[in-house]
Amino acid sequence: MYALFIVLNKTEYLKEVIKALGDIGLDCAIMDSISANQYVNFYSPHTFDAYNIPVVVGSISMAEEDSGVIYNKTMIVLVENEEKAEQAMKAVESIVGNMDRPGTGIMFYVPVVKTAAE
Amino acid sequence: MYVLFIVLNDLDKLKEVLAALKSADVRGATIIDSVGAGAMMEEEFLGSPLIGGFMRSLSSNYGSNKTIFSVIEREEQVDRAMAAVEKVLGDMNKPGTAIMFVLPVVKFKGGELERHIDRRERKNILQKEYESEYY
Repeated sequence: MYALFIVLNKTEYLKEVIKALGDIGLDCAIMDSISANQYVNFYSPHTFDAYNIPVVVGSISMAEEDSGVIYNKTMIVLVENEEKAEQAMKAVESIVGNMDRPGTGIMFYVPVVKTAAE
Repeated sequence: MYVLFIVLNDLDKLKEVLAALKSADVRGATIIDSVGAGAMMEEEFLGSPLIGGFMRSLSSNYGSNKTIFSVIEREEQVDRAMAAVEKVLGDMNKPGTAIMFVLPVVKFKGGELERHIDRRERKNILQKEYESEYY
């Protein structure tokens, strides 16, 4: 059993990705998240020279197009075996394109010791 | 390949922690808003229907914390990143500071780390060609 984490920067593909995962019989949990780079660059363009200013990101309403912060989505998918994980990663890449390009996202999978679901 | 999770309770230290990670050569990270289960149980006032809603709107962060995760290539880099974070946060045994843990990653794709590795490999190949007899 493995847990596949997908950080999806191109959130416009979210529905298609969910559908693609559904087609190979996988279900997922989705969370709002934010890239650390976005976070720092937006609030202090000169990177880290002013990082003692209190952080206010949490109070800014989520995912507003014009807020300048780019929120992404983190998805967690449980898969039975490595083949399935590979299949899921291929399915995601077939939609968002090659993940090598900057600004697409990252995905990885970690072993799961025990599950109690379905 | 490892993934480091940090659940950070002190939100004021978030940028310092990110800076520490960056200085420890961590390539990119993702941040999630989260809530500590302990905080949720403690504040019985805030959990109650009507009053709780008002109270929550007054206090800025209702037991909220941030979960940071990042994929890291080698174990010594993980150790370095954890040491850097610990230096920022001080004693992590105190309640309400943070928790961090590391999981092994079977495989990963994309992100800043892959591009970094790609660049390095390409540089190595060029270097080898340069050192070889054909030059």
